[in-house]
Amino acid sequence: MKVRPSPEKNGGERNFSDPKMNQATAKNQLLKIKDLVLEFHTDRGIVQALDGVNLSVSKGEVLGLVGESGCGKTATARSVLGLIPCPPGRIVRGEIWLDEENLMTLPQEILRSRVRGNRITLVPQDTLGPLNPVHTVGTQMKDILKYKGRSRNGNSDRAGADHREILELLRAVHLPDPDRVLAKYPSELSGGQRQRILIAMAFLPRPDLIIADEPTTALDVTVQAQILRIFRNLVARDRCSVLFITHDMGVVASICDRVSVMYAGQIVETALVPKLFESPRHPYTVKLLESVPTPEKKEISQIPGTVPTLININKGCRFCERCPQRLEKCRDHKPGLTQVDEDHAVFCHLFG
Amino acid sequence: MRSSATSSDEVMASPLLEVRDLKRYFPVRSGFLHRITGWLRAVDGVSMEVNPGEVMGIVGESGCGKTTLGKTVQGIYRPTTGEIFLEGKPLSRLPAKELRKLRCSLQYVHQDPMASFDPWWPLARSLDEPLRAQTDLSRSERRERVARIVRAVGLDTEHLERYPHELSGGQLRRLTLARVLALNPKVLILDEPTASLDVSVQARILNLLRDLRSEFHLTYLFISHDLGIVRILCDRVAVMYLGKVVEIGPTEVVLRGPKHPYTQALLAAIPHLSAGVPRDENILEGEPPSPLFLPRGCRFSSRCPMFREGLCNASEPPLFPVGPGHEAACFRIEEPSRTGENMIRVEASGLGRTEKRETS
Repeated sequence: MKVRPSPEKNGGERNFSDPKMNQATAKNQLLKIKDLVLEFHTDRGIVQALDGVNLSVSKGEVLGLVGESGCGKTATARSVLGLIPCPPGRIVRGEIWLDEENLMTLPQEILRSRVRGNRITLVPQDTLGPLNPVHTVGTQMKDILKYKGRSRNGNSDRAGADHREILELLRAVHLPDPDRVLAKYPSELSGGQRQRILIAMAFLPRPDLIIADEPTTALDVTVQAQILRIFRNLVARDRCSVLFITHDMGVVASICDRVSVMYAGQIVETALVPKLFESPRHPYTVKLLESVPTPEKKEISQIPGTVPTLININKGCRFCERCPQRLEKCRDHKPGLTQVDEDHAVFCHLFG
Repeated sequence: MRSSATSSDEVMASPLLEVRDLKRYFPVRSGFLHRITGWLRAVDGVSMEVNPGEVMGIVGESGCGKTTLGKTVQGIYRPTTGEIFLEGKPLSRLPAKELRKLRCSLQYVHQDPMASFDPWWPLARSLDEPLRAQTDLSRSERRERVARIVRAVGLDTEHLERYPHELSGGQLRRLTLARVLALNPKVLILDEPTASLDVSVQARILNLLRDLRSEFHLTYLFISHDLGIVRILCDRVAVMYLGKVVEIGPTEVVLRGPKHPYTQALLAAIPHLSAGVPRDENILEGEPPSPLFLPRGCRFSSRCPMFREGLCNASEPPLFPVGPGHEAACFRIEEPSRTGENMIRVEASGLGRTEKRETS
């Protein structure tokens, strides 16, 4: 990934610059994304996919990243992993810190050997694509321990220990008869079973950060509930951090500690989960929560207008065209961060 | 509501659509000669009545037979056994010509809007085709009717000049509705009309469906996997599991006081939005068994928290009335003294640690 060194890297004009807050929480933070701007150069113009994304995941925390399709959730995750194809992608500016290391300055070679699959792992949405169809599940899981994670520390009885660890994880993800599952090929398993395998694989190298990209979207609700419970238990066991990407507010409520809401490439609100549901502040969050159908609700409201295309988009708040409380400055001035409460930040002029 | 006795038929309005003991089996072939070695019982004895103007929801997990039921009712699949009545007329016994005419009033909206349009045709041609096939309208009359319907679903005639890939999922969804509405149907079978849409787009489609229902006096058979959506649109709901209806009743009643353990588990599995709700749900274990190898007795017995040996695996429970217009297929509901035994397994925070909790 090529990063253009930006002259205003340390400039004070960044929105996310409350120094007091940063110092207090900096020690605890595992992942920190600062002012990330990502563009895609296409035939139709420059798509401004991410516009100044700031977020942080503390140690042992599950941060939800929620938003509608095309809002930049996956682009954010892929930027962290260093997997934005370049071209057409280009990270214009921004920093991604994992502990004390700025991932943006690391060469691909180091990212591949030391970060991806070791310190950061991914649970993908699609369950069939990521698994190799011509190898058994067992082979693929052993490969992870062979090349990644803790096994490289020179364990004498590696094969045996690896096998025990894999079996333990498969039991933790509630796969009955783990020995038989290991001998199977991915196509012989159901979607729910494959998702369990992929979760086990993500936890296998004992990573610091797991990025879960809509891991339950393709599953039925009863299986989704099982998968979420497994996820919670494993996170508690390993005390790792999770960036949990989803479009489902219900999933956020049941697994995340904190949540960031994205709209059209911008973070609009970040809060502790109970606070977001009790008192959403940003007009988009309010509208989004109102449009979610639940068995308790008899009526749902809808958001007027449509999601804007991200080519030649206005400089200010990207929700302004659809916002019922739009101010004059919203179109051209990007709202800064307003701390409405401890653990509750909103990017909106109404509160600035 | 269901009429309990034949004598009440005169009093109540007769159902617009009636399905009586409908079965649809698919042959499973294997081996060198492709002999039939088994039957996949996708829909296995479903009965229901849908009254004029009513929205009947059909919910269940993937593979439970809800789509097959919808397609069989419309006539895309031939029923293995059973009968479908539209306005009291048995569809299987009608002469082909009359059946073809009657089919206009029973329309099916497919799940994938992208696959429902020919990618090489401008949308105007796709929308014109059913009118050309089913009516004697002239070209300009057809065009006028399509334009009127397209505006009714909230789009512009300008959209008709385009090709399917040029429109968004929500817009295509609207056009699939417009295409069937042009034929003046009475019953629409909607197969997951909001699947794979974002919540904000979904909300707009749901509100549109509600408006269209009153504007065109429609009756819906609404297939969905989402109980939240069902609550918003449906008057009554039928919960399906492995080809059978396990619970049926007014939506409010079923969602507030589900009687069948499967409905209870399905509701418990939906994550709640409100904060402060305990995070440990009554979670079902395992996945639905293959419809090729159904469990003996009650189909849900292999996952049921209330399973009782000798009762549930002995025979298949029929639908028992459990309230006005509310029926559930479970032997355990019939028992008077349920409290105390009626345990549901609850997995608490620790791995594999189980806790017992009473259900009410």
